[in-house]
Amino acid sequence: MAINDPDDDIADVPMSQALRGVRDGGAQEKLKEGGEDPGEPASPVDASPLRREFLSIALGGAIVAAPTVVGLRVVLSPLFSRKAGGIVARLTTLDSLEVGGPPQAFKVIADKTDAWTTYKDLPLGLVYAQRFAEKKVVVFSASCPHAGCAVEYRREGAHGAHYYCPCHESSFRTDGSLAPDNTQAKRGLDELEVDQEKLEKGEVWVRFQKFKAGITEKKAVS
Amino acid sequence: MKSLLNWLDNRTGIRRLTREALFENIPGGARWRYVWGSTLTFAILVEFITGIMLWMFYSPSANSAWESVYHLQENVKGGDWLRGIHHWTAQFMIVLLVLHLVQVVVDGAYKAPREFNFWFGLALLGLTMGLGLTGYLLPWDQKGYWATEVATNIVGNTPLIGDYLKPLLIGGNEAGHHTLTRFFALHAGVLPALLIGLIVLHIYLFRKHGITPAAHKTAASTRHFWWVSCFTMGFAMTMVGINWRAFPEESRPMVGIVPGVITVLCLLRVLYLYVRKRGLEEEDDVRPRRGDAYFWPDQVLRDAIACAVVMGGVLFFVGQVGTELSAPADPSENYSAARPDWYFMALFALLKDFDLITGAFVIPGVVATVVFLMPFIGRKRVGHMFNLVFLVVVLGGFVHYTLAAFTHDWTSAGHQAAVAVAHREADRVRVLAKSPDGIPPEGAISLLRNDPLIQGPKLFAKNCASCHGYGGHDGMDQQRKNQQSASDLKGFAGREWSRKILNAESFAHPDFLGATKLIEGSKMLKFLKGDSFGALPSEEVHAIGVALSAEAQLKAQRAIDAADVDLIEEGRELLSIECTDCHVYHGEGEKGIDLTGYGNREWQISFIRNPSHKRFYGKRNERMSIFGPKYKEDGSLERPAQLSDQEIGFIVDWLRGEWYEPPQDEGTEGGSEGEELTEDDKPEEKLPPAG
Repeated sequence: MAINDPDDDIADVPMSQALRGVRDGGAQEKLKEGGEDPGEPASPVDASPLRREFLSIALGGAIVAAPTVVGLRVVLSPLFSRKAGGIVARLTTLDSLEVGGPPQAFKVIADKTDAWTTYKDLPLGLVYAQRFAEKKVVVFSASCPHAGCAVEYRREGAHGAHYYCPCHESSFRTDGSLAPDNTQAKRGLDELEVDQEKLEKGEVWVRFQKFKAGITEKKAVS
Repeated sequence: MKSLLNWLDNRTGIRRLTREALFENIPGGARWRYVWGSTLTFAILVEFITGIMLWMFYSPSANSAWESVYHLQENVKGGDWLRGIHHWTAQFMIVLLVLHLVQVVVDGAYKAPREFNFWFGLALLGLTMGLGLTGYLLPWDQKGYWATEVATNIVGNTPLIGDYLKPLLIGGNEAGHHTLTRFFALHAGVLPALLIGLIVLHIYLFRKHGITPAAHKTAASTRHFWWVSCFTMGFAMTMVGINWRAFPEESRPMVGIVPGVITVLCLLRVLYLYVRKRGLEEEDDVRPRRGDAYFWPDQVLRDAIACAVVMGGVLFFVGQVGTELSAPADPSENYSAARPDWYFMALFALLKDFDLITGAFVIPGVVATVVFLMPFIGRKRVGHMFNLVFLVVVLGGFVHYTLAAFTHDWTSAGHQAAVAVAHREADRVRVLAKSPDGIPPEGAISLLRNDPLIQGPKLFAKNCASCHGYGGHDGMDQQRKNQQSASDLKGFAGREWSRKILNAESFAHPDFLGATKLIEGSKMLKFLKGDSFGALPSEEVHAIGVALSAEAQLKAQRAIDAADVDLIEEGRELLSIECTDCHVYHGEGEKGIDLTGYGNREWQISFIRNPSHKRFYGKRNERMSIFGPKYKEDGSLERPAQLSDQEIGFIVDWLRGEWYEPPQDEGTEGGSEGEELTEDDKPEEKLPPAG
């Protein structure tokens, strides 16, 4: 399409006026191509094109916004349903843990609804449980508080038994605190809430939660 | 701001682009009839926006597609609106495409040099229908599944290549996971990509050739226009008249009045043109044409208003009608309500009048070919007239067949019953999916397959209703096909039932044992008519009935059974005195039908498994089937079971009213407990909320 060089100045007038002259030639030429009568030249600009321009933009914006807003509300729905509380699950019987023994790894198994599917007895994650005294069981989430890799329990090391993260070499004492040779983690292992009442009755139940990785404080995110 | 614009413009040429986009010349100025292309572009934009967002929620596999759509629609706030906008905009697109095509043909915009653009437009119409077809399946519900079954079987009958095309389309020999993955790839990938490409070409060519200048307006052409309008409206009214039964009763006056008023207005307009003809005719021919104008802002404003009307219509339908999600697809349920989307209904109905090849390939093929050749046919004036007439006839045929198909469905009792069943299952699966157990990993279909409320009546209608009734029908709310020849089992073992047992008149009624041979010489009937029974006070007969019914431990009677403990105890004692000559009851008596646990789950299942067992009818069993496995005298198997224990369980649970019910609304829970919890005729309303 033949178009004159664009005019760099846009005056403070409606676009239809500001850019009008530019296209007249093109339109005329094109019409001749089709071999049809060009008709009368364009009538003088209406007195209130600004209003129509504004209306066009407002209306056009509104109708595109309608589906977009509905869609965004839906797509952003994960932001509106954030509640932390975790899932309470039974780990084992108290008897299966030896007083003063080494920590034992357990899969947390519970019912879970993932979006539309409700699973029975689904493995949700890994924890370490250790019985320090007759009625004292400590449970750590195996998720490293640095970046979320699964930590391992190691019987030996420079500072004795410890938890070790194979990803970035974070290291924790058996009580969960940061070990002297820790490299990256900013807080100790995340201790999970153990149901003391159930413990009295001889069972280990734990509230399995996830915590935000990478920061110093322990902030539940699930 | 200005320098920023300059900076941007130097690098992108955005000003020139804007100018090209907005300052398209429109010969004769802005017109309402030019809005169709823009509304379509807008509709496609909406489909892309909502489609990509839906994509984030959709899971294309046979046991998660329905579930993910259900989850979006029921559990995600705004999800029903998102899906609704996508669905209804698609419906509007089909209408807009047809209007666009009509406008193009009427205006002669398909003629040289615009042939290619016309063909691109036709291809876009085809692509849109392909998008509709593929999108219909994606929720993997009964409706989509069975409609696609029909559509893909038609594809399989394509001359020469059908046998290769169908497996390629559905990813195997049968519909399944791969049908969904393929349809999804087509719907969200291949077809939209082609659509974008064609739209770019379409708009490029449109801009290259410009808008087709409107023909010179004269008094004659105006009259012609209004005459054609009258004719078209008359044609449309005839079509509607032939098919008036297609419309729901309450909408019929509107269906008649609206086109009628429009037709009258068209006629008045023609009349007016003739009346004022005398003074104006000479002027008309030389009336100055309207001046040219640019696309911006007048046409843009008209386009925007038209798009707003479309959006308003879409939102109206989403809000008022909603978007259907029928029960999850189940190839084992013959879904008699199977229908394609409305714009395929005409093709669907064509298959009733013509054989598959003619109806699905020859006729649509001929129509498509003629439409394709329209630019050549329309070179001469007479050709253009032919095109117009052809279009009116095709659209008229389309409308006729569509309406005829809907008429058939509206007036067919069979179809309405199938739709009722479909709605019941769709509602039921939602109730079950919302239960605490939720949707299991094997998918929502298992909820319906294991639900006594759904399976019980179906099995009853199929296996029991040839002799038994259920509340006067066959269990599925359908008229019985033959005379009822055994008891009506609705309310079996309930208090009303046990009252009927203990009354000679109702005992001999055809709804009870009256229609069976058992009634002839029935000892029970003799007993009921006898003096010793007649001497019993009516309170004692009542107590026996209540005690007998309590044996069944029906869910609906839990509350009143608990309230009547003393009465039941009294009835039990009477039962073991009065009835044990001919019945077994808690260790008393030696022969006859076992009344211990009469009507409870185990009793009913055992009964249906083998009514000829000595615990039940024994040798007196007249003609009731042994539904469980049948054994010979020597203990070897004569034939396997007609109904599995699970199936018998569905029937029994349904007869006993044992199925999942959602908890009553919590609002009333607190108050009802302390107050007026007394006996009533309607025990089901009196259940304590916790129970």
